[in-house]
Amino acid sequence: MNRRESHVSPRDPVVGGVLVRLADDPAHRQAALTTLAEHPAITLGEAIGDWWTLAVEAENASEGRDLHSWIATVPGVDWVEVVSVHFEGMAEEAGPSPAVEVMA
Amino acid sequence: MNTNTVTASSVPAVSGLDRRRFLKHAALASAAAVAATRSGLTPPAQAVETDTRWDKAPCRFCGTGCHVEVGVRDGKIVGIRGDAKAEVNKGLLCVKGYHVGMILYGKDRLTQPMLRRNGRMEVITWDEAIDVVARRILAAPERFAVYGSGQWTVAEGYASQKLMKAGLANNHIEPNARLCMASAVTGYLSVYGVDEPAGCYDDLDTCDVLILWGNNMAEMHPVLFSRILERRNRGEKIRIIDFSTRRTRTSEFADDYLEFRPQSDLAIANGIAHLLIRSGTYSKEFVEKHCAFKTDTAEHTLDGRPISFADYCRELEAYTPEKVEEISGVPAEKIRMLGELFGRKDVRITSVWCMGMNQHARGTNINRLVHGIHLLSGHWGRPGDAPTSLTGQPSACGTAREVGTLCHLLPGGRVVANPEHRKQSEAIWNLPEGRLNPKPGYHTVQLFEKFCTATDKGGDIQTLFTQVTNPGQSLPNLHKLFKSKQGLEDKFLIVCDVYPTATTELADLILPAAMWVEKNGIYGNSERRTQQWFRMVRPPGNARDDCWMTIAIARRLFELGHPGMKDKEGKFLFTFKNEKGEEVPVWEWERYYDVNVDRALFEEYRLFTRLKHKDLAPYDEYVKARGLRWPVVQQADGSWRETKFRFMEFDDPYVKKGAGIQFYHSVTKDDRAQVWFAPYELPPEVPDAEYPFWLGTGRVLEHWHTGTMTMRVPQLRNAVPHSYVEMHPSDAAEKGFKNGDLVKLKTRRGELELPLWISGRGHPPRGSVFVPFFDERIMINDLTLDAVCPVSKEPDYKKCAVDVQRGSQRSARPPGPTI
Amino acid sequence: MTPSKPDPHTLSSRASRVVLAMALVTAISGYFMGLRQVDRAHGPGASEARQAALFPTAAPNRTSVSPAPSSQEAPTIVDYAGLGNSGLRPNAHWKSSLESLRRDDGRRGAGSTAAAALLPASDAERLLAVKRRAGRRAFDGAPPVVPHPVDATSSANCRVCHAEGLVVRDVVAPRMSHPEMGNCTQCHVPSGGGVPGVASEWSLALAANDFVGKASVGRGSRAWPGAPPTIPHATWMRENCSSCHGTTGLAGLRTSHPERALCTQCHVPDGGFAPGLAEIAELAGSGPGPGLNAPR
Repeated sequence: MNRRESHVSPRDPVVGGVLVRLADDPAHRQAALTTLAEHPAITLGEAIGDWWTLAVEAENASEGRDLHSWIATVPGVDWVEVVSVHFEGMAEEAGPSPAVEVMA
Repeated sequence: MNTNTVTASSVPAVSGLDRRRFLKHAALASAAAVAATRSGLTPPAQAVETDTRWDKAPCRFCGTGCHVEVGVRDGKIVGIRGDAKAEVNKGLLCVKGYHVGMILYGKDRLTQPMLRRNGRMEVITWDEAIDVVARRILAAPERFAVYGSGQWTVAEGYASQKLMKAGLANNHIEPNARLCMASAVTGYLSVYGVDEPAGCYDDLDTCDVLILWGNNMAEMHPVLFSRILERRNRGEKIRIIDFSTRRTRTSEFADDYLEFRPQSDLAIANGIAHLLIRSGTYSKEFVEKHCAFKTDTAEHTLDGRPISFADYCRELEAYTPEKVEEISGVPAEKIRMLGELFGRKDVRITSVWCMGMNQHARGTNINRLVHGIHLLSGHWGRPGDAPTSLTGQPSACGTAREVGTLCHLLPGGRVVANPEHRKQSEAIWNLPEGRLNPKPGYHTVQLFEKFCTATDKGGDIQTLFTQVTNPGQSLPNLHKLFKSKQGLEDKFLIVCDVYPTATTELADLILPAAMWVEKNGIYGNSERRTQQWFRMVRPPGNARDDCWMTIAIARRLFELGHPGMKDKEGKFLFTFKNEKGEEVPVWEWERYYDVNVDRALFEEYRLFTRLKHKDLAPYDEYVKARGLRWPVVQQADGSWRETKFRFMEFDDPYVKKGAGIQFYHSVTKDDRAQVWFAPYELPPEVPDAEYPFWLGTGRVLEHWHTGTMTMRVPQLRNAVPHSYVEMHPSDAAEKGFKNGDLVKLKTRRGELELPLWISGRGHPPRGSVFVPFFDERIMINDLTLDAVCPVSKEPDYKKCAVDVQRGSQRSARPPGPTI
Repeated sequence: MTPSKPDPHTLSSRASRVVLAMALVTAISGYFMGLRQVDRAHGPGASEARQAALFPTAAPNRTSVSPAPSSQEAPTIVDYAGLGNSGLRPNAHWKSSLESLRRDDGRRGAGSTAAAALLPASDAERLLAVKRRAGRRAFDGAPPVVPHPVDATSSANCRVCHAEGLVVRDVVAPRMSHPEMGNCTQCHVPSGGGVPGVASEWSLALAANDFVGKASVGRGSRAWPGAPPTIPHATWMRENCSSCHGTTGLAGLRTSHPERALCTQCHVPDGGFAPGLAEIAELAGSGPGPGLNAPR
């Protein structure tokens, strides 16, 4: 893997890993989860501690940012953090075998 | 470089849809990892480091009792880290602790039993070695002695104790702890009637004032010292008062550095008591409810003489601040400051000390006095208000003090001279009545005197068996107490150790030992915390467990017909059964680990611990914990609860309800602690025209005890590669010495050449020099004094008179002891 | 060593840089020490040195080689009485100032720019850095030894250079990763001793030891190319990532994006490197099992 040679176009589709923290109030939480789950670009993951994990798909980086902003406005969502953003174009250049490299 | 490629997931370069799904999963997984970290859950383990197995153990070195995690791979230690689960150190270690795993791997480990024949050491088998020891004992059981240490594990000390006192009816068993904390023991006994601190390290978390009585805590107990510094960094105000005879690293952190003349701490403590009485700021309520008064007498006994409060006040009259200044050199205003501090009820004061107060010609008295000012002022009995002694060895408390491997003790705070105590012990050991010997054995200094004196001149110790210690370097006045053994043909020295040392040099038989995590073990630290670990690696060559040796010797004696090796039903003293109830011959090395001998011995020993409210929990509780502080008492729900603060109702289950504070082992049987008066007395040797300087000895941070372990760790050895003498720059200038010059130290007992270090690690005042004792090539104990505290019999290594001269030419020195 | 008769010409230029940097450090630390310490009563020499450090131009010029420095320059040590054996040489011809050292952007040598710092490390650089780190540690995770004499008795001296980190050409004073710890020498000890008479026969026999410590795994793992790598070491006492990965870190370890401050947003600890938070959390839980073949 060579980060120096990667080129990412802002037009490439993106997949992001996002963390949201929901309100304490159960009713608000449930409302937020329903809204998020209904959105076609959002896949709801699991609850870990205070956090919910989401995967967010977008056609390009700009749309991804908009989605991020939208999530923050959903009632019952207290906080949003983007944990990872994957750019489609880059992985194709990098070859077919995403792998964990371990130097022993 | 060896690169393993681990495929994280079978990854499709197939369709766009699959790809998307994979990426979504990856995105969720990365989010989950972050969430897990934030929520305090561990992220899923990856394929790294899994080949290293980590297990807990207390550190091998000092008495602080930090827990380390030992990383083992392919049967070898590969790393050490601080154990974050341990309350003592909370994941932090000192430089010795971080390198403790390396002490197993010095190139010159002893791996074979060796017997001296015609002046040469020859390798022999274990069977021969054990037979030699057994026959030496059998020839004259009453002339045999065991000398161990505060590095013995609980099981090792207990097995030795049982072999000697129960088996051979011989009380000549001592630990080197006699040289390090005997004065603290006699202090606790004469004040509270029972040994060991009432408080614990938690006091350090709540005190407002920390007084260090001759204790260089930054170097000697650095992890505990950091606990204090950490509070300061959090913005808490803690006043550190450093009483010392020399400026140390600790002084740099202290708010008050009070330099006193050797031995004058007695006057300072009396000066504080004087002010408390004179100003009426002593705690009348505490004294009326909880204290009685005593004075030391000309005979210097453990019991002293009871006196009235009025007598006590009268004794103190002479110790005015001005008088104390005259004796100690500490300004009268500082004494007044201390008097006022102790008189205040709104601050919590913790006193800690170690060798400065214990290795003291009046060690017991200074211990009594420091307890006294805490009791008198009422700075006692709340968390943070505590007089607490620290120990220098990992199990000085656990083994030497609690198992009672001293010449006058039995386990569980029993004493050999007490018929009732002997009876109790005989019952637990299932011995015929009258087996135990009522006469205390020789204390350490006597023991070595008797061993190093010709038999026809009264030297009635002929065979000495040492384990886990190095008396050839650590005893005072070595020419007299150790080296004079040479040439005494009928004396036989058996040394069980892991490396060649100053002691093995004179050994007639060397037994190679397993060390630390090469064996199962239990230690007990300074705050009454009992700590357990399991064997993690194998000892090298033919090295074996110390405890196995003791049992194998006992078994050989049994086979040779020594009657003491049987209990009253004729069964061998060390009989162990496995889960199926079958007896396991653990004296055969191959079978030794077929049962957990540590566990079996511990469970037997545990019966003793309840006799003086030092209750220990079952072995398996310690397997789960990072140590527990005794008394560990079972609760109604079956769980085991440790005790942080003894004699205090809010925490100690043995205190009567409503009593608040109860000294339930009071020597006056009225639940009172004794406040002692003891006068300032001149040290046994003071500088004069011939020997004009004070000589003090001690340790450095990087090296532990006689350096046999730490000097074999490159990182520690490189930091302080050899010993040195510290001197005040003005004294050096007067003598024309420069830094690094070789100088000669000379006392009435010996002389020594070593390099001078001016303005180095420590800064002694004018007229005083300091030498660390870790270097086996520069043995300062050739020079030290063998005068002992009359009550505790602990030698005073901290002060004697010395002359300092220019050294001769630098001469080649032997690289170290050889066999 | 005789401070009054220095012979700087015999030193290689590299060595002299190191030595001079240390002399500078000691001079600065002397300044700070002087501010907070009680007089150690070591005769007039110590307080004179302190005066000199505080007011360089007013210093009595007792060592013939030390010209009075200008106020912009680092203070010169003019009296060695209190310094002990620290392996120092006079720093008379040192012309830099503390200000300019602090402004170093972290790339070695002159003329480096902030943009250059953004280049990710190459594998070779990383290997070199890992190797260099290993040279100062008994095993991965051990506290590093100090590659210079430690004359200090207090941590204030250490903080002068290591609090923020300092780069002077190829000499790096790494930033402290746990500045909250107050007693530096508790864990970090000099690698070359500080005891005078080091050249004597007493130091020659070095400790022979067969210990082989675990090595650094070198780099973290990535879930896929371009994913942020995990942290390939325990983070206990290494919470301040910038200590090694910031601008004063070794070239092979330095981050390519120092402007992003919240490292653990993207880089998470690898599960294999405990003690992790979970382990600490289960404080009262059951301990690990017995060791090798140990019967229960």
